[in-house]
Amino acid sequence: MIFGGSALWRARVVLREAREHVSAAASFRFSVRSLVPVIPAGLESMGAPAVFNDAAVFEGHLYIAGPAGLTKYDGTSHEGASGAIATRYRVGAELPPAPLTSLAVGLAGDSNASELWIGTWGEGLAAFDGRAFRQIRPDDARLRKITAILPVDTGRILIGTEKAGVLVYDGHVLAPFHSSIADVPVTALAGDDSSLWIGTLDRGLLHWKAGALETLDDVLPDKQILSLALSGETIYAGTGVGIAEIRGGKLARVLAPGYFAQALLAVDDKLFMGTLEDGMFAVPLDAHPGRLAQLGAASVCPGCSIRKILRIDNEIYALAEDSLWHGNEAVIRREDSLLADRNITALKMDSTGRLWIGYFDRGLQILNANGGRGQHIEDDHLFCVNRIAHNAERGVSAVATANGLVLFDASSRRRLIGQADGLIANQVTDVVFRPDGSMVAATPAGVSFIDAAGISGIYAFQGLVNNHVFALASDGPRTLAGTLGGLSILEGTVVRASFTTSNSALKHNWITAITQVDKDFFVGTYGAGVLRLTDRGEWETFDDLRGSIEINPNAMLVTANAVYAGTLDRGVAVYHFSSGRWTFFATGLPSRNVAAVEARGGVLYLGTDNGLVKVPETTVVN
Amino acid sequence: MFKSIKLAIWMTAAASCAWGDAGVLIPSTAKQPDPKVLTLDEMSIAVIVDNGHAKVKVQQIFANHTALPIEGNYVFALPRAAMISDFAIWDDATRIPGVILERKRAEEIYNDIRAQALDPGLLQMGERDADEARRSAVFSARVVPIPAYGTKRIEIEYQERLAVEQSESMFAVPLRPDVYRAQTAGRLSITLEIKTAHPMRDFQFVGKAYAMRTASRDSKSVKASFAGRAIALTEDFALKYSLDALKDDLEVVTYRDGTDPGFFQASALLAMPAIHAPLAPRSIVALFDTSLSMQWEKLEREFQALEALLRSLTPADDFNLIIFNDKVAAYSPAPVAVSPETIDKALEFLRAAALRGGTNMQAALDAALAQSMGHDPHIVVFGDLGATRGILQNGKLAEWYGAKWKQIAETKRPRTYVFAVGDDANLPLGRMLARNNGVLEAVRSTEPIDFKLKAFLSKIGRKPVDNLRLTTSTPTNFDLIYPLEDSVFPGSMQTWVGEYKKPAAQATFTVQQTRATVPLPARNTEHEFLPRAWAKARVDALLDKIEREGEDQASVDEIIRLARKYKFVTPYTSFLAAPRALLRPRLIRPGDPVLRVKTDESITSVVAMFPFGTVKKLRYLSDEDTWQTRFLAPKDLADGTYRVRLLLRDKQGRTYRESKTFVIASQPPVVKVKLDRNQFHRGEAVKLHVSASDTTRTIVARMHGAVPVYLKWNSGMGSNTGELMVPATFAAGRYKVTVTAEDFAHNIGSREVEIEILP
Repeated sequence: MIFGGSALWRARVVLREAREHVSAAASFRFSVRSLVPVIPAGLESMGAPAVFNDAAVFEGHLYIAGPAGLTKYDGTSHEGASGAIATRYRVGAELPPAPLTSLAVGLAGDSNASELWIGTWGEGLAAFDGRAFRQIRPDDARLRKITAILPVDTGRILIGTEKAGVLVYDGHVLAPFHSSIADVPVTALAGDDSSLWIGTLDRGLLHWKAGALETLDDVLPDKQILSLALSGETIYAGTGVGIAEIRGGKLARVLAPGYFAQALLAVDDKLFMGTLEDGMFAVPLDAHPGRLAQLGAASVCPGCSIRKILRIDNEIYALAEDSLWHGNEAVIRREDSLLADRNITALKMDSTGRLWIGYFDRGLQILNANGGRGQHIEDDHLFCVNRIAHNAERGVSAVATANGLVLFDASSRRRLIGQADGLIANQVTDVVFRPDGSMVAATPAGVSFIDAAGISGIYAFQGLVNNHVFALASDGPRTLAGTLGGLSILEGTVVRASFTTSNSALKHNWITAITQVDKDFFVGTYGAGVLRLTDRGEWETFDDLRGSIEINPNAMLVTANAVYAGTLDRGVAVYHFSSGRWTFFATGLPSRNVAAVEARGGVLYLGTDNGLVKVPETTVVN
Repeated sequence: MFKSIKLAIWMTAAASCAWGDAGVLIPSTAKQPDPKVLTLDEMSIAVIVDNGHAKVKVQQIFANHTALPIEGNYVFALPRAAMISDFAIWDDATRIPGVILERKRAEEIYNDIRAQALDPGLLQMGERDADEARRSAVFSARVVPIPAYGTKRIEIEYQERLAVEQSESMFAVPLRPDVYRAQTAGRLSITLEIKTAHPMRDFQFVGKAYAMRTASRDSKSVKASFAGRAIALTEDFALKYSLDALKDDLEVVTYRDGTDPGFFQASALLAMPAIHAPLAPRSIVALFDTSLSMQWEKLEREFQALEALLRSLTPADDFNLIIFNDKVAAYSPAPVAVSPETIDKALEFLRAAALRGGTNMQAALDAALAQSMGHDPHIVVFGDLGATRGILQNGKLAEWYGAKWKQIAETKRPRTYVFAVGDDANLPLGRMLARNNGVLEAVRSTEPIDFKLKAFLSKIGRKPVDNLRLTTSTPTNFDLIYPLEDSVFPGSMQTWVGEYKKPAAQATFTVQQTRATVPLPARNTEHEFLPRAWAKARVDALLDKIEREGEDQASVDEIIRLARKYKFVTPYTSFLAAPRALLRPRLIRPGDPVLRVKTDESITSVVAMFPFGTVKKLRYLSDEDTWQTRFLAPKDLADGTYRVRLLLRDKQGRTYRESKTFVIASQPPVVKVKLDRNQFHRGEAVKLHVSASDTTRTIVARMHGAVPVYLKWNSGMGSNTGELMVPATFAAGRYKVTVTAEDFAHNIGSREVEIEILP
């Protein structure tokens, strides 16, 4: 699925309406802005598979949220609706550029209509009134990672955060719910603002009532609460090893012991449990609920990871990662997608025009030259991909993975090289071809040289500045090895020189990417942006690239127009040869974490941890 | 989000990194002993050293100070040469002992007990697929439950034979903390009894932490004890003594429980020469393994040993260095004269050599034998001796080597010295190679090598006592006699153990010109170590035979029978500890940022719950029999130690929880060096005080041309200390001392300081 193919709008930062800035001591500063989709000219998303995180019914429509965005479906149930997609709202376009974590419907403040509230992982809160989105974005980044939303009848939206406790938003003010839980890592919320249950990552279950905070931790089967469900005076807390039933503030019993209870719904004296890998169960609530084995097979979607259980029109639905279930029927399934996964770590265009895509933990995909889905390869060796290199002359591709180096010849025959074959470690972080066809592989245990004579390796014992090698560049007989502790220059297998912050003008020892620009090298670091190593062996910094900038490993590329460096949280940094200046490009990206960059035929491919886009290079450099 | 890609992350099980700590019980929720949760209320150590055989029995009582039943991880780091002979946990008034079983049977029972949601312990040796299990000298057990406000009693017993080198023996119970903070024992008692037939002198306790009270002491026995309260276990309990080696001495002790056979031990102490003759010029060819299997600690120790050897040579010697992996490369076509320059160049040659997969021991030995060596030739082999190219089978390789070696004229045959490095060193091959007029010494991957290296080097150029044989007056009454040392030098001891078939009024034993006449009693159980010592020697001989000739059922059956009867672990048996105690057979290997977990076969699902909220299902890799996932640590996760929780589910649907730590170390170790002064004279020691980041594993100081020094933590000084000797041959001038620290993730940090050598 390719989104926005005909959009030819110019890039423009969406900041039309900064309505409020609150600075009261007891509240947090934030901005409210209307979200207007602005897509850079020619930018296209290359369809990545949807992942379902949460769902809610709003204004008669089912909405499902996930890392890719928000999808509106026709109708609310399988009986009354087609299950067809009515509208898609994409992160980075109509929505802030961050995965969506949670949904809830409610009123805030003096508004007279309910809205759909959307939690994001890094961009705060969004609200949808059925026509337009607005973003409530705290200034403090700690407040922007939202884990749970609970609208309450008093017109307040309670917001659980990753590390900053519970916030409350009333339409005007964003404030901490209470100072006693200001730093709590929240995982789930239930109840209301007079009796609030707070599930935490590592502190068990908190109960706020009448101005007092109670904690249940050691009595629970586990202190990490995954889900909550409230039924009258009874609260059910789902953990990785069962469900704690709490009555009167005390643990009554543990239900479904051993089950990973990541979703719960209590309704009509029934308890439904969604698990990580076993589907959904109806948990017996009689006096003897029984042990794990007596639960039997899952009632819904055995083998699924159930993210949410909903009650719609008195029917129970289970939201799995890729589908919505009613009983044994999948009433909604995600659409087929071009890509096998969203989390991109490596990109390489081969000499036949096929784009090779390496995934974080889903293997390798080789798209057809015509853009078709091509081949997806995922096995015990080829699943955590770090880097892809291609030797056009020999038609050979090398895929660096966490479980060895996988070589593909021109006929796509595969050969695995690992430690058993002489590689210095199985985890290969980078690989380069030398002009003579030999290869150099970087690993966390040193560097391996692969040539006709076999495989040899060096590490700190032989003088490498550090064992953890993350990036390589080949320059004739020389190899540059970027490590956690500086940069070493090798001739053949011999270390000739090493640069560190203590013996050179290098600004950060952690080298993550290296690319050659004429006789110089642009060197990406994890914390000090990009530096230039000249052919005279001198380090140069860029005045317009200051501050803490993390360049992702091997996310650098040079074209005739620019040097591109994928960053951890600022999109792609662009060094324009025409001006000698750096800019950042992030608009329209599904994530600001750009982990892979490739270019061919005037088109730039940007791989992120939340999808892949392509964009004309002219859009980025002009 | 992508921080983890570049993080130096490694995963450690608490048990896997304990090398020096003995008898530590760590709450499963902590990474260090936590006296707020568990205290060591009582500890008793009973040591009996009977004619060179030490039996150590440790009893500990731990108290739980919480209102909940808790779990603990018990860690006991055995001395390298020690063999565990008993382990038991008390469950209220019930003592639950461990048993030795055939390995396959032990594994069946182990799995069976686990299926009942109990945790058995399993101690095996010779596992090649798990780094943790390979370190068989670390015994670790999970202790559960420790009742609320209750106590848990644990007993462990091990035995080891004490070597005699240059007429000295040393013995230590490792109590000094290495990985963990020091424990304090509420009450500590130590009893010591030494019996020796050879006269003893210069007996002394090493260290001051345990003020032993000597009850009796003469030249053939010592009895001493210690009792105290609130004793911090900051030092090893150690002692040393010399044996009177002015002249050769032969002593025989016996054991018979009233049934056949009886057992004897004959120990011949060889006199130390009054004055060591100066060493004649030596010709040394050092073989150095640079295969991938030597990477990390093994390579460092191997290099340390080689450097010490080369720097111990004199200008009268010559040497060559041959490095080998799947290929062989020599520093020089032929041995060269020893000088500081040639040694430096040889070490530089080695330092520049890349590692390669594969080890061709045969080609390396062949290249060494082909060297044209001068006077007193020695081949000194360093490595783990694991051949993967050429002849692989130990017996055949040793046979081939022996045949080639014998083709050399007798006067020019090189003595074959072997310095084996690593927990997985192929000692049977080393033993066979060293039978060509040489010596075998072995060090583990992590143990300090100083003592053994010094003893090993002292033997190069000195002649072992050849053709040392034990004869008896009535040979038909004796059977299955085994020497316990492959080679002996003046000042050391050769010991034989054997069976005697029938009691006799007297029997005469002879070694060289020395005789001892003793009765062979019908009943004498004073030296109770003897049957087990003989059984161990018998099993070693059978294992040696299997190495040479291949496995046969009769040998295997006998090994299993002896190991079970006398309680020791062999490659064919396992020690199944008390039910409810779990040795951690699971493995988490260093990963970046990959989490790997080794589990029991019964486990069908593993889920990792990271401290930052991420939940990941692990993927099972059938080839590696390992579970794996990849994860991203948040950008704002500071360097430090974190805990990941694992939820494991077995075929029956039972779930188990494990907790492992991982360390994020995005920065290499930061090193700070302090010298008390900057000017030194030749022959003086440069006293180094070094501080380094908490995650630092090793610190070494080097100065070009000087023997490097490995710094150790000095609690009194609050820093890492060591002394670097300025060689007497140094010219006056300015020199750089480089101090390099390496952390557990093999990150390197270094600092240089300049010193001045005065004229």
